[in-house]
Amino acid sequence: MKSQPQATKAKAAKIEAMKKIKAAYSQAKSEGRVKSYQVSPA
Amino acid sequence: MTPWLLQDFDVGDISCQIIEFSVQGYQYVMIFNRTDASRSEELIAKQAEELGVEYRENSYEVKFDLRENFESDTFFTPPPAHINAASMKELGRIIKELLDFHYRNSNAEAYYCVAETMKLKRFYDRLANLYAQELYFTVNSNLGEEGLGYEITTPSYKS
Repeated sequence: MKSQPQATKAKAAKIEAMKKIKAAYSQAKSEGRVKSYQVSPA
Repeated sequence: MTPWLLQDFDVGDISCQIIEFSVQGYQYVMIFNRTDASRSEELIAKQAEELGVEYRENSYEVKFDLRENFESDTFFTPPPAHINAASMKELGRIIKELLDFHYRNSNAEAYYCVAETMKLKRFYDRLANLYAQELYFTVNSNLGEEGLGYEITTPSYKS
């Protein structure tokens, strides 16, 4: 059987942080509070 | 090289810049979240302790993921197909460019990140070896309980 990658505490914490960021982003987007810019890489 | 899309927003305790970019057909997001954005000092201290660092005043937590994962809430799911060495090299180079770009625009003292797998830790270690000197950054690695954390200090770091 192929072993699965180890799920780390770090990954769980990062997922929780991402959920909060995504929720904030969705709220900001729905309220028109996201400022967008195009950036040309140097 | 395709342009980056920078999105900037502040909501509650999140003060964030999200930069979208692409490498070899994959779309990615790199996320910079200011560590002290109206969060309680207690929470900041707890998170810093978990990582084994002292958070600086103007500092950011950094994460990157596939844009599709971010949009579908399947955070940090690996890409469906193997990413070849050339693409990984290009991805690393763009991550370096994005850190440099963000630093030049924020004057951040430090960045913090955590590798969620050993494979990513090897990738981050390689990037640190390749680019830290070029950017005049100092990378402290192997931080936190699992040794997967990083503190990247910049020339603006105030001791």
